[in-house]
Amino acid sequence: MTVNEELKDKLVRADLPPEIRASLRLSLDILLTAYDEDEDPGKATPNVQSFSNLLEFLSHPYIRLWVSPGIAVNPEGLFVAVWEEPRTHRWILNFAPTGEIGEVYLRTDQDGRIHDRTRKSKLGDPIYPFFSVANR
Amino acid sequence: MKGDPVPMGDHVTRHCRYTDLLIKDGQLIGVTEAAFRPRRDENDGLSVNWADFFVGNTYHKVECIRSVTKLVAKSSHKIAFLRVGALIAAASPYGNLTVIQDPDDRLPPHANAAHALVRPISDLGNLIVRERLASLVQVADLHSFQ
Repeated sequence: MTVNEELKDKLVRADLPPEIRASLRLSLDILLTAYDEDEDPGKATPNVQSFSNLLEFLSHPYIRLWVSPGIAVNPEGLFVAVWEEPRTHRWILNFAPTGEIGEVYLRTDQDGRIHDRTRKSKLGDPIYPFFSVANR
Repeated sequence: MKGDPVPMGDHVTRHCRYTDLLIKDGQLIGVTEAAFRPRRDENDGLSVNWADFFVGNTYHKVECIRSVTKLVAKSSHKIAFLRVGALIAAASPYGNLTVIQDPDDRLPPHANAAHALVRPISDLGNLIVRERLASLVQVADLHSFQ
């Protein structure tokens, strides 16, 4: 099984609401297509365990109620999830294969001033959002 | 002139690759901090193009940026616009970024009169600075190479 197939298989098997699964599938397709066309010899393969950890996080009883996050694959191949209200709130979660979650929260005032907070947590910890993420 | 600051009200652009893109529901919605990570050959500063070196509307400026881009562009790659003043303000609690003109005076095809650098590169080693810069880029600020 290729990494792309493995990622898609993890998504199919994840305990997620259909809307979240569909959203992630669309985003994953775009990211994997872009990954495939990138000719950088140093590019990192998307990390399957990092993706599994993201899926486990999203399957949590209250997190599964939220709108779907934006996702990205960083240069180390790790998955990143972002919930945001553009120009106001932005909560970025970086999923390490070890289960650690690095969080950055940015709040932008009306005058453009940005405030930031960081937090480190672990998969399974009770994680409270830095802002009120909308439900689906 | 080389070394002069790019005016605060002007815009610069950054070439964004697949690891820089933030996707939701299969649609591009922004970029991540990775867009502002210094790349292997960026020792003097983060490489950007000075969009307002060119005249005309945004569409024309995007065309001009495409024409001076030296990196190999793929269909998924994007051109991100940032206002210099916003970029400097966003990073200010953690550093003292400046954007300076750095025209490439070599013979074509290397020449690029619009090239600029975001300095110092050490400030961009800070994740929070990069996250702050990424938060400035909205979907309307992203343009395709094709």
